[in-house]
Amino acid sequence: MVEQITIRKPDGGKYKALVVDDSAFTLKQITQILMSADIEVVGNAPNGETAIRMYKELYPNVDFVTLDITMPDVDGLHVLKEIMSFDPNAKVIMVTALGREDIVKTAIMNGAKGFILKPLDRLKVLERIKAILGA
Amino acid sequence: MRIEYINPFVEATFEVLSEILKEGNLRRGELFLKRSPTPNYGVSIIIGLTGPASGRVLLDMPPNTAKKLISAISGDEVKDLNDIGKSALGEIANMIVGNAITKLYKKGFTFALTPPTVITGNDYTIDTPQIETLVVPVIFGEDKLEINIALKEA
Ligand SMILES: [Mg+2]
Repeated sequence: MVEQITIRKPDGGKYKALVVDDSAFTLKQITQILMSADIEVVGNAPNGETAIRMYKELYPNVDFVTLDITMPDVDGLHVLKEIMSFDPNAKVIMVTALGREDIVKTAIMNGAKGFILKPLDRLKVLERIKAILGA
Repeated sequence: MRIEYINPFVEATFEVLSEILKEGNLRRGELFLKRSPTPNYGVSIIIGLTGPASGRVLLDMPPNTAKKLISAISGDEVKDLNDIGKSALGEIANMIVGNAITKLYKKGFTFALTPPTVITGNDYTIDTPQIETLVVPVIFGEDKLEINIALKEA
């Protein structure tokens, strides 16, 4: 049986998320995890450049971003800085691999609200996101 | 190749695979040397490394083991070696090598990695540089994968 977790805004509305990852597998996996909690995924970006462009296009109709750190060319830290300078209130959640939590410190100093770890565990991810959003 | 480079890869493989497979009974086989990091078992994931030494890490396994890993990491959503399955294998290699270079960084060696390339029996086009390669077998249940580490001092 799959445990049901729903993450809604205080006013009952659906959260809107932008998912960023250069791995097609992880992009799909995070999207499915978020959708299972009734979160609307308004964008999927397979690289950093697309992520920055999509955030600007979607704004203000996007509530948070899950952002992969390890991506070729424009990496997650670079995307984070661009998004934060465009929207200082952006809620960005970094996605990093087990054992690489160190890398997150720099992201937190640059405005990231928290992080989730790969390999992704659906319940852990949703509990984490729920806590970060204060939902 | 410096011996300090080897252990972080082995430890990272154990940590990441234990997390994905949700089991602790992995064990390490006998190390051996070969002349170049060549694939042997049908499914290989290659990640390039640059830093104080450069070269590549190749994870080599039979298709059945690859499918088992894909199935475990996807919560049984994906079972095949299709594009999304290969992408899952690439992520597993990213996690292992990413974890290993973090351990190396803590020892004072700063490496950078390239995105993973996944090759299967049908699309073997890999140039194999002649770099002395250390092979570490990792055994779990009926499955075995081999970590090929080929690094040359810069
Ligand atoms: Mg990535």
